[in-house]
Amino acid sequence: MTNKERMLHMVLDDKKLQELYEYDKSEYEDLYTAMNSENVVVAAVARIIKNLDGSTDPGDQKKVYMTVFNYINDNYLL
Amino acid sequence: MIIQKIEIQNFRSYYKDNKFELSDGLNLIIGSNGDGKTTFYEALEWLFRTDGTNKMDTKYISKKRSEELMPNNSDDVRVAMTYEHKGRIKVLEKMFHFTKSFDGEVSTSNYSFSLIEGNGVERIIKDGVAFDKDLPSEMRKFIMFKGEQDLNILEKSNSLKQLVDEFSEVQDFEAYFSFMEYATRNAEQARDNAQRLDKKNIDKIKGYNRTIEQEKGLLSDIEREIKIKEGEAENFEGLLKNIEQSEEASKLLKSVNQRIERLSQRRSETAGRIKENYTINLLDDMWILMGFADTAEEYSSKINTLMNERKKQEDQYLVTAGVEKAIKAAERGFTSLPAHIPGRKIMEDMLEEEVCKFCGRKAEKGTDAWNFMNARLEEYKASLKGKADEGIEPLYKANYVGELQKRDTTLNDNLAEVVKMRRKIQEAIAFNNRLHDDVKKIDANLASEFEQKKRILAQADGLTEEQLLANYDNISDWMDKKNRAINRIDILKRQREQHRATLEEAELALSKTSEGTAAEMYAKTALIIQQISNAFKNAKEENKRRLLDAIEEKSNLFLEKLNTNDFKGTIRIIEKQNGQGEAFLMNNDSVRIFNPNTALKTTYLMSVLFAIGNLSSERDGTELPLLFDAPTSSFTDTKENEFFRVISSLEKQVIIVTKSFLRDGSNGEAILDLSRISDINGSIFRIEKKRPFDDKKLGTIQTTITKIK
Amino acid sequence: MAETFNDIEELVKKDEKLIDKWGRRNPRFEKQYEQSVMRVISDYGIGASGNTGAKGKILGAGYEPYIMAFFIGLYANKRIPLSEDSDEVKGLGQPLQYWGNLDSKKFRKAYPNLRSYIFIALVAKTDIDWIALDKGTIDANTVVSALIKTMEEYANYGFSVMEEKLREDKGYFFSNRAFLDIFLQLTDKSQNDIDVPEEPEEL
Repeated sequence: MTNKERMLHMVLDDKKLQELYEYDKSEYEDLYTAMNSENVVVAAVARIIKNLDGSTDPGDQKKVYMTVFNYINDNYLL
Repeated sequence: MIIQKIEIQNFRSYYKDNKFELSDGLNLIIGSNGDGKTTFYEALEWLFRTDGTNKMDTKYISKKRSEELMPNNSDDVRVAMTYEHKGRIKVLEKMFHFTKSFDGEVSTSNYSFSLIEGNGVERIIKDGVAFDKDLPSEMRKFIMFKGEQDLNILEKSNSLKQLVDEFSEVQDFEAYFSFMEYATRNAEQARDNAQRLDKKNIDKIKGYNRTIEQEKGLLSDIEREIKIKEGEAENFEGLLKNIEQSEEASKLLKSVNQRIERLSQRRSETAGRIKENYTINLLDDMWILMGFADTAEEYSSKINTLMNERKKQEDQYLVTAGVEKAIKAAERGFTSLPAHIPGRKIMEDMLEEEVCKFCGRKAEKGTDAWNFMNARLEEYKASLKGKADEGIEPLYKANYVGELQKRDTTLNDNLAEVVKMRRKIQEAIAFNNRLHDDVKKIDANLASEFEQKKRILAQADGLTEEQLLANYDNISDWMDKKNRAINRIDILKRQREQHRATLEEAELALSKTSEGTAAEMYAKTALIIQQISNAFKNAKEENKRRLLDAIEEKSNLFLEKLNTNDFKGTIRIIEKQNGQGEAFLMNNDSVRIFNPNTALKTTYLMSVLFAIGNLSSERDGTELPLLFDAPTSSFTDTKENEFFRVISSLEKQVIIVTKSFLRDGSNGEAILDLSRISDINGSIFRIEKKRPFDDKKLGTIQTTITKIK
Repeated sequence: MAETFNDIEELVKKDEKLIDKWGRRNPRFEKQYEQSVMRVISDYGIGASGNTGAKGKILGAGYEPYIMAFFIGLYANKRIPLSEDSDEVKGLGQPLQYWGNLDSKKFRKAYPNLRSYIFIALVAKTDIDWIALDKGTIDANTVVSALIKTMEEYANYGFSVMEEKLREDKGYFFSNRAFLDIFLQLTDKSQNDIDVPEEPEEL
């Protein structure tokens, strides 16, 4: 398992998050599955992790933020 | 990484070229104080420094070498390490040139620091700073340890963070963490902007925003205070538990001291009751009369005999001298007594006894017979008086015998006491002997109490008796403070819950308010991002926790190996309030041990270090060597041998610089104890100052290296 | 314990003076015992002031060893006549009437009654024609001298015993059982060969 996948698991294992957005382990077995998940939150987290790639550069942050923000906006059904 | 060779040239006491060829298991470098152990360590420290500081300094130059240099001649100071890392062999080398000028001054030049790989044509030379890739400088504090104090790696600030960064399951959390904060901020901003455009609900929105603002502020205050109080509580908990064992010791000590006090008092009382001045008793209490009974009897019977004899003579005398007169008087009309019968005594007796000795009949007082005798006696006495008047000389001029006799009377009265004397003396002696026995018993008890006191103090690891007792007094103070902090924390936590709920409500309400508006989506997005942010926060903590658990688990495995059967318990690793890590021991009853003896402390701290080393090897597939300077100085010989035996079995390169295995030789120099060394599995080097040398003259100091094994 | 004894002199009227005549006497002892015994175990030769304990001596005034010596002789029933050479003999220096008075010494009790017992013992053990004394045919002083002689001879034996012990062991009398044990031994009837009746039962 890569570092990213470990992080993915650790974040999405969070109980509260799982409760709020009703997803389970199978949705994020690996990064690929998570990216393509129907669950917006799972997919958003996957995008954050993959796209940021550990960068602290403000330019990178902005880019990733826009991606994620738009993704949620576009896909979250109220 | 395995260190194959270390070369030290002209560095301090290492004159000219010196080499250590190390094995990949245990390496012991043995020397006494001043032999070059610490210099070895310092040479490596100097070599590893990649931050550009302390490059050249004349203080590094071997005094002996610089002194013997002829003017205009020069030599190098060089430290080099040949090591193998990830399949490649490299040499890290740091050196500088030194020259002696014609006027005797030494100057330095040509500093170089390189990492060399390969040889010949394929030789690659990089700047020594590249060594950081093989051994990051932050990692160095995890592999080099100077002395037993250095071993407590976790308590060094930042080391926990570094460990987490290096070794936790998930690296780079920090980056994501700060990203999430950025994202949350921005999403909230976006939301606020959108909501500002929503004219209809603007007041409600304003209201909710205000509430949200407020609650966030309060929450952050509360968090801050909770952190402070938790720090306080942890502090007092630490103080309290720090003397937990010695609190036990203080309590025990107090009660031992009380018992000693009581026993001592009883002893004085008892001993004070012993009165054994028997010699004085002989005189003052007249014990000397213990054997007087026989003498008293002799006296009595002598006196009796004397009295009788005296009386007899007196009576005879009186009879002889005055019997005629008595007879004459008797003839005056009374029945005369026969002349040969002594008169007075017999008559007195008869009157006394109220009986007539001649006829045998009773003559009670008042009867005619008695009166008759009495009258006769009176006459007889009168006749005697007459005799005296007529000048009969008394027989006795003095009555010394009477004096003796009177004494006899009282002597007889006292005789019972005299007879009992011996028994009384025996009783007094027995009484004193019993008291002596009691005192002996009390003394035995006192001795065992003192033994116990010694044991308590010994276990209290360096605390003096005053410190132990002072601790005991501090305890209630600290307990109060700790409890107050904890209570405050409870209150704060409850408040925090309330405020969180309020905040959530407001946020929810806020997002609901936007329902049906464009802002709604923004609000929801902001919320999602917030929640994801929380999840990252939690994951970060989880990450840290898993690392600590992993280190803990491994540490305990090493502890089992290193500790053999001394200690029963486990290592626990936690994060403290201030972000530092802490490793401590707990015994089997889950009681934290705060004052383990130094050897045990060294053992468990080294277990943690081995555990960390193990993590590193798991992650990278490469082990890092460990370097210790005198870690086992507080171990017993047996423990030490055992310790080294276990280390040599760990399949890890460990270099230990120590003065163990040296014993005093006949000339006062230190000699290697070869019998103990034979058991050790690994390379052993002896370093010592070459003789002759003068400690005051640095120029005579030179370390020599001998490979023993 | 001395309090349990009635005062023997109470019954004896004051005008009877044999014991008083005796009390004015100063018994003698052989000079050899002064250094070897008296000064070792008592304050004899030093002033009367001060505490026996402070000087480290077992006994106080010089008459105390004399008393011990006397009773040793008495119980052993052995006498040794004093040397006839007057150079070898000297008087104790304290008339008998003061013996046991102790003059308020600390930690000590006076035992004046002991004098009567000594006197009684002397009377018991000395051959005197008391009747002749009462008759006046022999002098009271002669009688007293005879009593004193008995005392001196018992003491002389006692001193020789004490000197012997000290020769074997210089610290012999420093043990507080030393004298006590001597007397216990001397008066232990079960050790005698002679068939002696047991101590009379108390009535």
